[in-house]
Amino acid sequence: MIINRKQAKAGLYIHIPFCLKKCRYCDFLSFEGSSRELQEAYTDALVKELVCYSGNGKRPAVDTVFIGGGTPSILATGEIGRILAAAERGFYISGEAEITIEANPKTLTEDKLSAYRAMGINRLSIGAQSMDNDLLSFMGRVHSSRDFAENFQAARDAGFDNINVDLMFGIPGQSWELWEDSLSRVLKLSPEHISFYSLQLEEGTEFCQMYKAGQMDLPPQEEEREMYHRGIDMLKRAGYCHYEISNSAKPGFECRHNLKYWNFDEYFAAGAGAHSFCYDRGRRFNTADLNQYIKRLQEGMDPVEGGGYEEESAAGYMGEYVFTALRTRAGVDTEDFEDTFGVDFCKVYGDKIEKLLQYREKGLLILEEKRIALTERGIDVSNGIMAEFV
Amino acid sequence: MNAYQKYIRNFSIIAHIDHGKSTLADRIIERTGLVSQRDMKEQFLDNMELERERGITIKLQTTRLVYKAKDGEEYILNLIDTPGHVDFTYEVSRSLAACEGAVLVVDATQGVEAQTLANVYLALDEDLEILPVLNKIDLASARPDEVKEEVEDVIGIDASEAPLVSAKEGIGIEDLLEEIVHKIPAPAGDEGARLKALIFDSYYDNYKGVVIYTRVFDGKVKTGNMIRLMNTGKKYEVTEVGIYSPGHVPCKELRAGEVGYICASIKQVADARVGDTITLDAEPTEQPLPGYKKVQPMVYCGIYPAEGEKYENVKDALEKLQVNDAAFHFEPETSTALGFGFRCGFLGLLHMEIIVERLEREFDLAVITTSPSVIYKVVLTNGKEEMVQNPSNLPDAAEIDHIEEPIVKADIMIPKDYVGNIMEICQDRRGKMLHMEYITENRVQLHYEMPLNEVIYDFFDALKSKTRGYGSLDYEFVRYEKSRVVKMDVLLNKELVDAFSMIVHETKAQSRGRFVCEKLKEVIPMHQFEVPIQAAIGQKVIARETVRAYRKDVIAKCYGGDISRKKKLLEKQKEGKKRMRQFGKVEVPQEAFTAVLKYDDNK
Repeated sequence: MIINRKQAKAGLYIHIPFCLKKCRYCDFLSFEGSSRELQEAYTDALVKELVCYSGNGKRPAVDTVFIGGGTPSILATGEIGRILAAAERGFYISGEAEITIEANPKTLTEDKLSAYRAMGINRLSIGAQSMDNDLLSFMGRVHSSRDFAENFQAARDAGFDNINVDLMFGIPGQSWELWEDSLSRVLKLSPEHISFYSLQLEEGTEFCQMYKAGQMDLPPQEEEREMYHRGIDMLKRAGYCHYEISNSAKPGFECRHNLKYWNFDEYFAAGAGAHSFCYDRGRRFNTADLNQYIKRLQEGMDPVEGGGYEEESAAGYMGEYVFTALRTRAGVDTEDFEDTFGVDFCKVYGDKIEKLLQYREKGLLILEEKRIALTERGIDVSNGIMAEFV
Repeated sequence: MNAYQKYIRNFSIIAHIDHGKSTLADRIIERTGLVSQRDMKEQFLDNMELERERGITIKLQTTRLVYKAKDGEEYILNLIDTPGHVDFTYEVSRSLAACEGAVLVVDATQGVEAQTLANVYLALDEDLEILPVLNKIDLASARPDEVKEEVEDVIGIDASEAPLVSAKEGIGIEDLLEEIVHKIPAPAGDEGARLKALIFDSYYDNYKGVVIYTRVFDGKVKTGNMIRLMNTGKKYEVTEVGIYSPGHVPCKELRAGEVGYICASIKQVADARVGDTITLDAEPTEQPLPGYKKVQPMVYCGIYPAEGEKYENVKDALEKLQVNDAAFHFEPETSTALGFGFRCGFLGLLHMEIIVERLEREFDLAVITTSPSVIYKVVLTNGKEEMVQNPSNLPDAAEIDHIEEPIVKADIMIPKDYVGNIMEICQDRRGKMLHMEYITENRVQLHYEMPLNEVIYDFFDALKSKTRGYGSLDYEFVRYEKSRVVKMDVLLNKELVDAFSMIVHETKAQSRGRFVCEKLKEVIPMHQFEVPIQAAIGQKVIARETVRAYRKDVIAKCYGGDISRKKKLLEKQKEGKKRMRQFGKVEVPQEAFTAVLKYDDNK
C-alpha cells in the first residue's frame, strides 16, 4: 500500500454518453442520435452498476455526486430519478452532498428543472460555450445564445442557486473582443461558477482533421493567452476567485466534486468509459464500448473487464498528485503530500530544486514553506513545469 | 527392388494456401495411430507458434507413419510436408524430389488456384505420381464434380477416382490412405550401390547440431560413416541416424528408398544446404543428384533496433535465426537516421515478415524495418558492375551508365469478373502481359512479366484487396533488365532520412513520392513547429506535404478520466517519446516505417 492517507469522503461520477449532436471539437465518450431504447437499456445497466457498490449492507460514503456527459439532461426525467435512486442504494450520500448535473441548452424545461430540484440535485452545469451564434454553429452546437439565456433563467426560477456556465475561448475566428463580449454577457447573469476552457484540438475530432488539412486556423498562441488573462481579470473584477487553471467561482462555490480530482481524493465512477480512483485499487475504467457495457451488466459481469486499470508505481502516484495539485491556486501542500505518501517531499524532488528556483526567478512559480503553486504567468507554461514532477 | 522397399511409400502433400493441407496431414497422422488424439495439437506438423497462428507452413516437417492397409500388410508411409508459400518454391521442389508421389489437395469449394498449379508443375517436373484429393466436401458450397472437371481440364490428370475428404471432419481419410498405398509407387534404388542421398531439409538442434532430413536413393548410411556433402565439399562423421516417428528414433542404418535423419556435428544449416547430395567420403558416388541450387535472397531491407533495444540483442537473435535458415542473410550496416543495424536478405516479403515477427515474439525485441528493396545491377560508366540492395549505396548518378532490375514471371489466377481490375493494377505496376488463359469458364490465369520491385511493395495486398481475397499469385525470377529507376529520398524538416529512401521507376516516382508524403503526414504528430515532408530525386523535390504546427503549453481540462492520459502527455513532453524516433527535431512514430509500405485501397 503506497497511499496511507486519511480518507476524506469520496466523490461519485456518473457518465451519460448521449448528446443531441456531437460537437466538432469533442472527444469525450458520447454518441449522437441514440434511440430511446438504447438510453433506457443504458439506464438499466447504470442502475445495476450503481446498486452493486453496496456490499454486505455497507455502502461507501460519498459527499459529491456528478452526473456528467455527454448531455445527461437528454435523458427522460424519470431516468435521472432512477439513476439517483440507485446511487442512494449503492452509496451513502451525505445530507449536505453537492449533487451536480450537466446540461446543454435546449434540453432543459421548467418541468425537468423542478424535478431535478425535487430529486435533490443542487448544482447545475450548463454548457454555453459562447454567446456568439456564429461561433456556436461553427462549433457544431445545436443551441443559440438565446436558448442558453432562457434555460439559465428557467434554472433560476426552478430554484437553482448554484449554477456553473462552461465557456470556451481560442475558437477559430474568435477575437479577444468577441471573447470578452461572451464572458461579460454571462457575467451579467451572475452564475456562481464559470469554467473557461481554451479550445484544444483532440486527435480524431473533426476540428483536428480540419486543422491538419489546412481547412481551419486557430488564433495565434499569443492571442489565445491574451484571451485567457483578460478573462481571469474580468472574472476577478466581478468577484470570482480563480481557483483552478480553467475554473473560477464566487467564494464558497468552488466545485467540491472537481476539487477531488485535483486534491488526490478518491472517486467512484459508473457508466461506460467512466474512470474511478481508489487508494487500494488505483485507477480503473469501465469499458467504453456502449453495447459491451450494457451487455456485461445484463450478464452480471464487472464493466471494468474490457475497460481496464492503470498500474501505477509510488513515483507515478506522486507525479499525479503534484501535477493535479499544481492546477489549483492552492497548489501542492507538501505536508499533505508527506502524510499521503509517508516520504519527505524534498527527498523525492530534491534534484528539482534548482529548476524550481529558476522558475521562481522567472516569476512562474510560488515557492513557500509548505506550498508550491503556479503563478498566473506560470500557468502559460504549466505543462513544462508539471513535467518536472511526472 | 528389395523386399523391404515394397512396403514403403514416400509422398508429399501439396496444396494452395488455406486448402487444408496441414489439417489433412493431421488427420492422416491421427488415423495411422501415431499420435493419440489427445496429444494432437491443432496442426501437428506446423509446430512453430507462428505457423499455427498464421495457418501456414513455413518450415517443413517429416513424419514416418505405419499404416495397416486393407490387404493386411503394414506399410511405412513417409509423409514429407512442404512449405506452403511462393517464397519457398525451391524447398518445395527438393521435398518433392524426395518422393515418389504427391497428394494434391484441392479445396472443393474453391477449385484450382495459382499455387496449386505451381506446385503441380513442380511435382510433374519430378515425375511424381499425383493423387488428387478434394477437401472440404462437408461444406455446403462444395462442388466436387465441377472441381474434378477443373482438375482434369487444367492439370490434365484423371480425377475421377479422387477421394472426397473433409480433413476437418475426418471424412474419407481411409480411402485416401488406400489410394496412397495402391497408387504411389514403392521406391526403387540399389542398397548395394554407392551412397546417394538427398538433403531435403535441415534444422538446428541445440544438442545434436544440424539435423539433416534425407532421402536415400542408393546405398546406405550408418553411424560412424564419414560422409561428404557433394556441393559444398565438406566432410563430417555421422554421429546418429534415425527416423522421425515422431521425435527422433535412432536406428542402425538408412537404406536406399528410406527417409530419415542424419546428425553429423554440423554447426549451421548453411553447411547442410537443402538439395545437396550426401555420399560416403571413402566411396563417393560419381554424380550428385540434379537440381541443387544455392538459394539467394531476393528482397532486402534494413532491420534496426527500436528505441531502447540493444544492437547486440538484435544481433544475437539474427544469428540464432540464421543458424536455422540458410536462406536468410544479414550483415551490419549503419544508417544516419537509425544508427547501427543490419541489412537483411530474404527470399520474399513473407519470409521477411516472418523473420521480423519472430524477432518480436520469440526474442521479444522491437525493431524497425526499412523499405524493402530488390537487388539492382548497377553498370558504371567505367564498365564495372555493382549489385546494390540498399538505396543508400546507390553510386552517384554521374558514375552510373545504367541500372538493371530483376524481372519475374508472375502467374496470377483470378475469377474472371476481376480480370479488368487486375490487369489495371498489373499495368500500373509496369507489368507486361504474356498471355491469358481461361482455366475454366469462370477462372482466368494471367501471365505477366513484372519488375520484382513492383511485386514486393504492395502487389499481393492489392491483388487480394481487388479480388476480395480470391486472387492468387505465384512468381519466379527470370532475368535482369535495363530499367530507368531512380533513388527517391524523403526529407523531414529539410533533413534527409535515409531509412525512407527507396529505388523506384522514373514513371512511378511522382505518385510514389506523393503517397509516401501523404502517409507520413497522417502518422507524424503535430509538433510545436511546422514540419515539411518532401520527396526528392537528387535535388529536385517531387512531392511535398506539411504537418501543421500546434502548440499547447496548458492542459485546459483535467478531470477524473483525464488524469492518466494527461500524465502520459506530460511524461512524453519530458522524456522524448517512447516508440518515437527523433530525426533532427522531428519525432517519427515507428509505425511510419510500415505505413509508407502498406497498400491503400483509396490511393
